[in-house]
Order: sequence, then structure tokens, then C-alpha cells
Amino acid sequence: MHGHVHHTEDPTQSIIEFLRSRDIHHIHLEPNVLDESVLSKAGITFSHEPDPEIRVGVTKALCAVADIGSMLEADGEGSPLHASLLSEIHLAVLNTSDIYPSLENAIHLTRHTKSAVFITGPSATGDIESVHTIGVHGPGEVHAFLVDD
Amino acid sequence: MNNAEFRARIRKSLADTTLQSALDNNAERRVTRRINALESLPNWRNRRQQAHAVRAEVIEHLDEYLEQFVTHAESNGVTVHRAKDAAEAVKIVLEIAKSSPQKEKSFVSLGDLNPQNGGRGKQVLVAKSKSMVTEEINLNHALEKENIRVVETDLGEYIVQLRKERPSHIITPALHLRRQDVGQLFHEKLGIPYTEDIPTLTDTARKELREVFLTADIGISGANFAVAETGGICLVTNEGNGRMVTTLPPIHIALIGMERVVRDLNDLALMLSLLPRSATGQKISVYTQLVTRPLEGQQRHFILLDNGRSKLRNSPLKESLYCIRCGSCLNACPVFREIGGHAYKSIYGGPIGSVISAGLFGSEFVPLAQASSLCGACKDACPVDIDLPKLLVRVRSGESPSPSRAERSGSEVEAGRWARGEGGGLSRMGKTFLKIYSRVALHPRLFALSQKFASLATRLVSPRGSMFAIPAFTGWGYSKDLPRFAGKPFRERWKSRQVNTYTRELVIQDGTNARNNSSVASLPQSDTLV
Repeated sequence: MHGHVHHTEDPTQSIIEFLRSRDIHHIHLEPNVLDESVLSKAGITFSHEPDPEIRVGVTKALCAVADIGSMLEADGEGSPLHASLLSEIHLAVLNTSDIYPSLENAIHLTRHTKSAVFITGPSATGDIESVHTIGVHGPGEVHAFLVDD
Repeated sequence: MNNAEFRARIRKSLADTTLQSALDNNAERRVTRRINALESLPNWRNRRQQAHAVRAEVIEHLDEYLEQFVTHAESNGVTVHRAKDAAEAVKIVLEIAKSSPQKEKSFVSLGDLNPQNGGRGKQVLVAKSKSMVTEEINLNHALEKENIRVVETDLGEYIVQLRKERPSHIITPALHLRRQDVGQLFHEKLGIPYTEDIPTLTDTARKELREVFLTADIGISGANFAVAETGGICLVTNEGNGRMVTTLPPIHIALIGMERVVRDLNDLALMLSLLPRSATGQKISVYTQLVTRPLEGQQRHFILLDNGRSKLRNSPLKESLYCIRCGSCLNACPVFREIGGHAYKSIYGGPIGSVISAGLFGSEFVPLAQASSLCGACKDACPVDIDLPKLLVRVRSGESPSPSRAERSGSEVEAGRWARGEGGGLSRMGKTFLKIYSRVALHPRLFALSQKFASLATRLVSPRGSMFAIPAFTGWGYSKDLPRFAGKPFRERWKSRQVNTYTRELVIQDGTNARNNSSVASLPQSDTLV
């Protein structure tokens, strides 16, 4: 699905390393996802508000769907819906225990959300000559940081 | 649109080399992708039958499920409107637009990024994601007339809007264009250097439209499904514009065809396993949204549109409402693949469009049902197993519901002709010929006589060649010549053949040698040369 998966025991540390490799120091962060004091110490600043100038958005995925490779994001504190939409790169932290076999099981998690979205890889289009082209309005890169719990 | 106009449009499409190469580029690829994606789904054939049953159940008890949907949506804090036709739907959107507060940014941080925002004056800005229902009611035109600026944000729709055209396919609106056309368009309208590089073109649209999302007063979307159990809608998109228009502007309006309802989330999951696979060959679209309640500080409106759907439901074309708008019957149709979407004039082209357009937009679209060889490719491709050839034949035999258009204009004559309308879409001459033919074919002696006459007539029309052209005034055979009628009709040859076969059987029974046998057996063959 053109997304990337990183196995990690410490998502904060893995994401800091990822941001350093891209030379990015400011992110849109959903609250209570990463250890914010560790981020600050590493020189990464963050905002809980949507801002289209910010290049990276970090969220927690509510769940993932194994057979189609999707992750679920929903509205909530710190606008995870926008963190996973306005940025160029979307980083999602996902617990292995939140992986469901198929959409039939996972879709019921949307029941109590205002607005939810199953995200499957980066934003894409086939509108010109049916050629698959990555990165239209949403992020051109999607990374899942998989935490074995 | 009468027959002659439809034919003129077809001829124009066939002669358009740009269109032909665009169609050729796209068609086969799309069909292969769909088949591969479906084969990756275990027991997809069972799922298809299940999906058919689910759609049948909902359409059968549509009022009940709609009621559930409305009740749940309202308790979720969504304002629900019902529109019986296009005019009502447009009026509702305009009323919402007029009462919309001139944009105070919902996000403080976004306001600073748009200093030019203040210079927009009082014009309301609408950001739209792809919606066939809004095309159906011609919403953009109506909004622009009221000095509202509407911007299509789906890449294909954006291209089509810049060209001042309408979509040529319900899934890929710019199917009729090549990358060169888009390059030229963006060069002329957006001032970028000419390029054929698709990622560069896509990135240009991203930059242009980002501003629109952030400053829009209203976001308008369609809906792929409306879930009765939760009162929410489901939107299936790839680019991310659907997410923008449903979450960024302070007002979101979704226009929903009233037949889009599914019972619950389980049914929705079933439909989602079939829709993207059939539409674009994806296991799932990039973004599958479930939009239920308004976000903080946001107004959400759902407009449920009838616009002829109730009439279709009470007609022999009811099954057409099972459609989930995947577009696979268009991609599979050998006629669509040659003439493209614009030839149909209706916003809904291809096999499903040829069935529903007459019911939704009026009897002038009956001729569309003639643009089919009834080969059945559409039925095979349909993820909910709609018997499209059967429905096309019903439209031809005049079984469509009386058109809303005739009713609106009070034209009883048109409605009457339509209701009786056997041979819908045929020219008057064609209908007369068919009437005469059915008389003749019912009387064996008359039929035998007519065969003699037909042979003589075609010999007179074409005394030398073995082929003949049907005279143009009949409206038939304008694209191909036909072989001349045989001098000796089949029934007569059959009689003589029976005699021969009888002789041959006798010969074999007599144990005559193989040489005799073959010479006797070859008799009927020489007969065919007569």
C-alpha cells in the first residue's frame, strides 16, 4: 500500500531518529502519544494545533486492519484528523494488540467517533491517464511505528 | 436529445482522435485491475450475491431505512433536509450559503497564513469534493449564478472544471483527456511551464487547491453510503480532498442520493469490500471516511435527494437503484469504450446511465438504451449483479417511469407518448418497420412471400455487389452494409437438404462405400452456393 512500517520498542526515540534523518524540528503532535519531555530534550518542538506549515504530523492509530493494510484515525484532542492530513509526512504509532484481521471487525470502532477515517497508504490519484500518482492533497508519506505490547 | 442528436454526438466522438487515444489508453488497464482486485478477495462471488440481496432489501424497504437514518443523523446533531427534486436541493444549498457567517477562521493559526483572505470581499467560497449528485442537479451553475465561487478539488474534476466541461466518467472525470491535454490546460490557465510529467501536474493542483481548502466557507461533498444504524455517511476517496472539505470549512454539506442507504456497519463493510475493487482495482481506497457528527464549531447538513428515484423505485427499472456507482459497467461496455462519456449527454453514461437517465432526467434520454449490443459485459462486471441488459431492454420497450420533465412542463402529450412508448429511442421510421415486420412474421405465408420480395428488392438496390446499403431515410444501417438476401430462402433450402440427408441415410444403411457416401453428403454444401 506504499506505506512504511517500523518495528520499535520506544516510539518516541524512533520518531526522534526519523525526524533527525529528515532534518525536521517542529511537528504537529497528538497529545499523550509520545513522551513530550524527551522530545523537548532532543530539541524537537511541537504543536497540538493544526497548522498547514508543519511538515510532519504524529498521531496514535486507533487500530489497524491486517488484510487491507489500513489504519484508523478519528477526531479528538489535538486534531489527529488534521495531523494525518495537512502534513507532508504522517507518522502513526500503532500497538500490535490493536491490529484487527479485517474491516468487518474494525469498522465497529468508528461507532462513537464524530468523524473517522481508515487510512491506507499515502494520498494518491489516478485521474490523469489512470496512472497511479502519489501525494495529492494529503501526505505523500505514511509511516507506522509498530509497538509490540 | 433525439436520435439524430445522439448519433451526431456518437459520430463526433468516434472522429475525435484525442478522445479515442485517451479511451484506448485507459480501458483495458482498468478492466484488468478490477478483475485482479476481485480475485484477491476470497469468495467474492458469494459476496456479490450477498451484496445484491442487501441492496434489494434496502430498496424494498427504503422508507423505513431512510427514516432510521434521518432519526439517527438528527440525534447526532446533523441538520437533515429532504429534497424532492434538483430545484429544491439547490434552494436548500443556497439558503445555507446565504446564512453562512462570513468566514472567521476556525483555526487561528490558519488565518495568519492567508493575509489575502481579507481581500476576497464578501464572495462565499465553496470547496467541493467529487459528487455525481451535485453534477446531476447542476449545482455549480446554480451557485455561480448567485455569485458564489465554487472550486472543484478532486484532481479530475478540477481539470474538467478548468476546461468548462462536465465529467466524462463517474469515477474518473477526466477519462477523455491525455496528459498532454492536461499539461496544455495547466500551462494556459495556471501559468506553469508546459509539462507532460504527471507528478508535476498533480503537485501544481495540490498547491493551487491548498489555499481553497483553508479559506473555504463551505465544504460540499457527496456520499457513497448512508448508514441507517448510525446516521453517518461513508465517503470513499483517494486524494484527501474529501477529508479536507468535510473537516476544514465551518459548514459541511453532503448531498446524498436517497438510494445510498445501507442498513448497518456490517453491510457497509461488505459494500466496501466490493466498491473500491470494482471502481479502481484497489483493495480499499486510500481514505475511507465515516462522517457522523459535526466537529467542534462545525455545522453539518445532509441533503437527501429524490429527483426521480421514487419513480424509478416504483417502475420496472427498480433494480437500477441497487447501483453503488463504481463505474465498472462503463469500463466493461464495448460501446462506452468507443464513444466515451460525453456522447451520452447525460451526466450518467454507459449501461447504468442509459437505464437511469431516462427515469431521472426525462424521455429525451430514452435513445441511450439503444447504444448497447446487450452483450452482457455490464452485468458480469456489476459488483451487485444488476441485470443491466434486462433493464436496457425494458427502457427500449417503453417501461421507464413517466419523466419528471414532462410533468414539470405539464406536457401530457410527451408523458403519454413516453408511457406507451414501445420501441423507445427508435426513429419513427424504425418503429413503423418493426410494426410491419411483427405483423408479417406472425403469418407464415405472408412471411414466405416477404422473403421472395426481400430478395428481389435487395437485388434491385444492389444489382452487382453481394452487399447492399439500407437507404438512409430508414435511419438504420448507417454504419455498415449488409449482405444481399439469398435468392432461395433458407426454408426452401432446408426442404431440399432434408431430402438429401434422407438419401444419405439410406445410402449408409445400405452399406454403400465411403466414396459414394461423401459425394452424397457434399450435396447440401453445393446447394449453399446457389
